[in-house]
Amino acid sequence: MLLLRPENARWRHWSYGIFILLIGSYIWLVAPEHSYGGTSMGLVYGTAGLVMILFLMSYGVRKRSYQSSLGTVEAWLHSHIYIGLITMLTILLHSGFRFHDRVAVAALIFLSLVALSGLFGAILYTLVPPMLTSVDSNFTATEMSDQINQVSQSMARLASGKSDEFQEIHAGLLQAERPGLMAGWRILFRRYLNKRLENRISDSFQRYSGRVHFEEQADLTQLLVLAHQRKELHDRLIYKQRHINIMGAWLYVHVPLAIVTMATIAAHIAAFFYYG
Amino acid sequence: MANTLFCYQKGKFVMSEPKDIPLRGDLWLQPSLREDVLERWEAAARSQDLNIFLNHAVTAVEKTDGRFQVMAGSTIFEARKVILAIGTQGNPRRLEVPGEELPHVLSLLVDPEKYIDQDIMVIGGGDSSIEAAIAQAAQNRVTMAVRTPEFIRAKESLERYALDRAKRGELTIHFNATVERIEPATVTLRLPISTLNVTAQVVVVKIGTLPPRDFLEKCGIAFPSSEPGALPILSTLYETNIPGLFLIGAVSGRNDLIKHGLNQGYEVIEHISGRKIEPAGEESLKKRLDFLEGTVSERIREILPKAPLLVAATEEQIRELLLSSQFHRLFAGEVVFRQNDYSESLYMILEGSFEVLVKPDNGAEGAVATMGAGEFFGEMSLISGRRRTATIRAVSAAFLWEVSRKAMLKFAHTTPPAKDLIDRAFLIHAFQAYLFPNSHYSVLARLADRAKILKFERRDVIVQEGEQGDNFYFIRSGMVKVSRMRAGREIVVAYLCAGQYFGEMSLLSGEPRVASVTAIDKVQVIQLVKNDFFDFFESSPELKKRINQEAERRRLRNVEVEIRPELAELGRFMTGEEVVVGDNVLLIDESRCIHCDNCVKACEDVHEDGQTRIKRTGIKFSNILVANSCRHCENPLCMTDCPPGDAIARDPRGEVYIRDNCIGCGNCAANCPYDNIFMASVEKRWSLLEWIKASLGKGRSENIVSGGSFPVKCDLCRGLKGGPACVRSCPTGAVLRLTPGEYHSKIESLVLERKGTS
Repeated sequence: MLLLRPENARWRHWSYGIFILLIGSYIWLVAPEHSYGGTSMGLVYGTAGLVMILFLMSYGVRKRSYQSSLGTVEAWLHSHIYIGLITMLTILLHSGFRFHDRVAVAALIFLSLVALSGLFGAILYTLVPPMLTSVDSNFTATEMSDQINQVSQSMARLASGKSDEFQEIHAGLLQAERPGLMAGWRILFRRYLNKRLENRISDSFQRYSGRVHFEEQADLTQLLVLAHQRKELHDRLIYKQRHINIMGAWLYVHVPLAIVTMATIAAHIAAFFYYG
Repeated sequence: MANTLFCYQKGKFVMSEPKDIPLRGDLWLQPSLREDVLERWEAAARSQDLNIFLNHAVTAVEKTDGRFQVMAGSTIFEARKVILAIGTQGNPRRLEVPGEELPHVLSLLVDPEKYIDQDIMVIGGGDSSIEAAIAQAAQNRVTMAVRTPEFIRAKESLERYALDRAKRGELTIHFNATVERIEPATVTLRLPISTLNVTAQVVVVKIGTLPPRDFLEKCGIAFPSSEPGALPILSTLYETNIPGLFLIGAVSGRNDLIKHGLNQGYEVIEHISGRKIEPAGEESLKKRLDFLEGTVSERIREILPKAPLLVAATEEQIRELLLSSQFHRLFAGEVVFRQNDYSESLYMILEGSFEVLVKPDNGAEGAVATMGAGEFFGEMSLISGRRRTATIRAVSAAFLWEVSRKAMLKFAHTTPPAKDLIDRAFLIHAFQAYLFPNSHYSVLARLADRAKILKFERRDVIVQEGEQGDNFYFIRSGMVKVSRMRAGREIVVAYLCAGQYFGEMSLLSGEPRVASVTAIDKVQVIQLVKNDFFDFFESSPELKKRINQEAERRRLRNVEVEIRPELAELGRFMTGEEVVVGDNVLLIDESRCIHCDNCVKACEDVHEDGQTRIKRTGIKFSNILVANSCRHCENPLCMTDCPPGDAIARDPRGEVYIRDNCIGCGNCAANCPYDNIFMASVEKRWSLLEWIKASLGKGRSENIVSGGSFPVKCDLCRGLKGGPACVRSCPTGAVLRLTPGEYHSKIESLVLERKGTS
């Protein structure tokens, strides 16, 4: 698990310490009847929470500051995760476990969703890369696409000059794998198919052989072999890209939620200063 | 005219080495394409209105009554002075086989693009034959016929290139092949146990050229001996034993580079015209020897006694060395270089003394020797090309003469007494640094007398598993793999590099060799026979303890590798794919890589040209990807064949980088055996200020290149704080840059972790 790697031990130990410190301070310093955000300790927790949230937001900046020598991005990501978890606790302590104010509660809910989506992302970063390695290929997605195109061109050359029925079969075989609208999102929900090569070709041949002339049967077999190679390459590409997309898709939830959270926090702080 | 350049292949780069010597006269020469240089020279010849008689082959030069008669076919030219600049390319060696005179048999291949979809036979095993074969291979079916069992004379980079193309089926190579006859459409080759007819519409014969000695001797020019390699006897201004007859350029045998030939011609003409002329580089040499007075020759005579290493050198050789030299004055305590620095020069001590400090892996730094005036150091890195094995510090005020590696190696190669001195010093210092740190010099000298230096080519077996061990070996340069055969499979146990030893286990136990040792690249070893090894082994308790401990560690390692097949596989992968010869290799742990491409984006961003130096493709082992990115090899083949000479260089920390004087010839990219140098169309990214200036007509920065392509390669983010940006920018720690010392620990632990057996 990303969070449980030996190299993260330092972060974990610091986090445990800070957790204990926060809880200890709450128990020691905060009277139950005075536990809400507007008290001195409430404001301390709130300010600390805000500083942590601003630090969390700066991860996106550091990740893209490629020339920066201010720590590695890996260290920043780990601190982002651990400080994110600590922030949740800090904000809860800031609230004093009282949930009256709607704006404040909304901010807390959004913050919780951000934290949960972040944890989900950490789990994805741990589980998905080893799954990707099962697609044994030395090629990038772009190179695999190029290979698919080359096979498609071979199929087109084979179909060129053949009968209308042959052309129709050829067009049908290509159409089956054509990516449609929002293909990147739709493949997130697609299952990886894994049927045996021999069965598929013989099934397909049985399906199509009656439709073409006898002289074209040999070429039809070749076309189906190429079609299956293309399908296999395509499936591997889809599998690979699907997992890559999964590792990117969760950010479409995490980042917008974070922005909304910042907006609600800003509203909460504005309300605090306006209404006192 | 300019036959040498005319015979270059179309598009070949002309070099203008050596850069330290000024070009004399008005003729233009800069590193550029053959066509550019020829065009300028032809224009210059036209503008000078020279009397040029083409297609008049000179057959004899005779001197009668103070005048020369130059016979060229039916024409006889008369002259008071004659300068022969005939080169050596005009006399190609002949095959002496039937059919050699057929029109489709060529000795020159100027335009590689002339032939398309042809069967081409290239005969020869040197650089020019490989270049000719490779140039044609993309568009033709090319076969090479090489008389020897392998490429013997060719440059390593070309040899690898050809063998790689043969492995991919793009080229066919027949070794041990002799041409029997040539016919209009076939060539008959005699192979060791058969005869082969090869289809060939074009035959290119590249078997070297004959020096025109017969012609020169016919002209009356004297040679010092009948040895084939003997050079004609010439004065310092290139005049032969026949007054008024001069030889310049390659035919003189002196400094056969183009610039040298041009300068020699200039000097001869100035001399003939009665003007006193100093040799080219005189001013430059005077500047280097500015601490002395007099002419350069006088200064050389004054300094020579302080440098016994050069006692056998001619003045000309010393002048050449001086062009690649620097002199340094040091105060006491100043460090010349530190252990593990990447520098390769040789230093001669003219004054003062120095101490040699070595820091072992698990110990404190300590002095192992001192050296004084007349001695030299730096020869270990000079020979091995590896990092410095010790720190050298001045004990007193001192004066050093530093010579670059390239110049010193060339000098040693042509001067056997100097080579012997360097080899002996290497032996003594190697024994001192690695085996007998506290031994007396006389002991080490005795040991050096008994040691032998052996050379091995790539894939040569140095020691065979199962044979009786009689020798101890110390690696002087290169790298070897240690492997065992089990059930028909090779298990690579370890790889060893310069500074390490092998062969001791069999000597100590008396048992047959437990493993084979094979050269991964070109290797030189120092061999000690058993009796000599034991003499010194028994005389040094510390050494005995160390070797016994290491032998025990190796025995355990052998067992570990046998019971963990994944380690054996890893060893085979690391040596087979030559990952071990890299000094800094980029690895991507694919079980952590989230394919965010942040590493690639970081690389693009930190370099001005916006081009990435890494590709997330390459060879893989157990989900560890050796990505396509420069490995900063110990012996970088990319650094050979650089026209400017130093456009691709290595800095003391080991980073191989491309400098601003790169001309984009692509030789480095072609020579890299791992395809880790990419040719890219590069334009510098303009800043806002530069755009504004350009739109106001203030011109563009000199460093901006528009059009053309330039090599880009990883330079480990030189100058950037924090080290390689790709490593720093990876969110999951999947990107690793490892040095050889880290391969074992890091990669093995990753592999074992995968197997759940760490």
